[in-house]
Amino acid sequence: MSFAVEVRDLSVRYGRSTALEGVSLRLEPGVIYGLLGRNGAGKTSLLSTIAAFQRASSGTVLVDGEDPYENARVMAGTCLVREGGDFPEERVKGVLDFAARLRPLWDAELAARLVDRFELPLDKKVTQLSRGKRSALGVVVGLASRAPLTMFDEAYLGLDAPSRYAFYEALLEDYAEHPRTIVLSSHLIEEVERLFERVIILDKGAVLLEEEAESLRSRGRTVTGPQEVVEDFVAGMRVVGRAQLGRTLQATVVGDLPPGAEQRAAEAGLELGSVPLQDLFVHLTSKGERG
Amino acid sequence: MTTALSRHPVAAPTEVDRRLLARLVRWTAFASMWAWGGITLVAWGVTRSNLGTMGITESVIGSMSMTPRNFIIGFAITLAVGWFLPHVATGGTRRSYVSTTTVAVVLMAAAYAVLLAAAFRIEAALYAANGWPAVINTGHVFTSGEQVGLVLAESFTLNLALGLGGVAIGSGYRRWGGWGGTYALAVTALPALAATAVIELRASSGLGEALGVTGLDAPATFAVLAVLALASLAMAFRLAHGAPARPVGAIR
Repeated sequence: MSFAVEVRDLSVRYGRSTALEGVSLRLEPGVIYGLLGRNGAGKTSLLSTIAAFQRASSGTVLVDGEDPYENARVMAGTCLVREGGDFPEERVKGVLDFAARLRPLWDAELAARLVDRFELPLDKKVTQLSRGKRSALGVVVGLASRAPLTMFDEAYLGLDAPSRYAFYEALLEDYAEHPRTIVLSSHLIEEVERLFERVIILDKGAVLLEEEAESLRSRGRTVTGPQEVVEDFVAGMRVVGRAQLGRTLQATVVGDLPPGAEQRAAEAGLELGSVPLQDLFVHLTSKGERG
Repeated sequence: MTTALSRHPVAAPTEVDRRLLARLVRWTAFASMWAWGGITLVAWGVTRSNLGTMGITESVIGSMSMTPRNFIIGFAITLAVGWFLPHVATGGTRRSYVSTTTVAVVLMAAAYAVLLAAAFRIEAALYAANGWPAVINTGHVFTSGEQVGLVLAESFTLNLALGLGGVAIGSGYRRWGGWGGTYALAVTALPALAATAVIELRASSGLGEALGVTGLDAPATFAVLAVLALASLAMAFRLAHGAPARPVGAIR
């Protein structure tokens, strides 16, 4: 069961500051979205408005075809997990009971498995948990809720690397069995990009792009090989990143390669690869590329 | 068009969340235990002190009967603010939160009324046994603690008006944050203040006597308190409807 989301001309303002201005986008049901944006781009405002945590200043938000604000059915089916979690100040067990009560599709078995996997102490109070364990609790609540629209807003930043990978694995496993609309907002793009089916990039409160992850990756290529050969090959192309190890250089270029470039690369012994989303993201949201 | 998609059968939670209600009642009972324990200790201390000095000249329960009201407002503000964020963040509506809080306040108002009536009954027996005068010098529609019906009716309606007044005050903080909620007290606290005035400004109270006010009769008093309770409830629903799901300190 998955919810679709339709956002039309959405604006969110806090006093005199504008977080979102004229945002329109559509989230297809049953797809994993990556929501990327620099700090202050409006990611949290967008997710909070979709989840009915706050009202829009203007514009329309429809979740599963209805306005989510104070809509009991839609709110029960929408789960937004924010960093630190919005938990009652109780023991971990109490927090899970609290979520189980309000989430109609709650899976207690999955919650128990994840509690074991993240080694969460059930009898400890939430206020006594480390940042990492609080993040793990958010992940457990987010996944076990099985909400038709599940959104993680930097919710797993506090986890250590093994726990983050355990989360990615758990998310994919559960998504395969119970497809639903999932939005992952993260700055750890390199780690999570393999999960994304579609990517939304917000910049300065507006949608910079919304497209398939694969199509986005094909917007550029990496060229790897001996430094001099690579420099010669990319001359005249738009290079947005360089990484060097010894005499080996990897250059990231965006835009279509010139005709015959792939053959020339093969003949020169250069390796062409797809561009990491992070490089494209940095390129697209850097000052020179905006507007 | 999204609107053309079929609606998914996610069951919406009930309007009054029973498990949240159980949590709120549990917390209120725990806090009230300390409040009433303190009131009992002070009543005992005052009685002992008066016995050793000027003697017993009036009902100690009567003179302390205003104290539980202050606890009711404080506890109701806590209920209105405390579990709001996790409730909404876990998919509950603001409406269901206020509905559940209202039921908790009604239960608290009833329990406090019963406790006060019981305290008057115990005091009446004790005072009668010792020949002490159980005179009530505070503002009430009843003139003796033995008028159980009036004690219960006044206490319940007043507790309800003050409790729901507390929910309105707390919802103001939820809606506008720390500073905004404080400025809004000029409006949100009005029904609770008016409810207090309805009881305090009576001939039987020192203030009413000084001002030469006779006050409303019992039925009119109960009716006004009920109207004030409803006004607070309407305000609480209205304020909570627009409240963002953020910590109070982060509301701009």
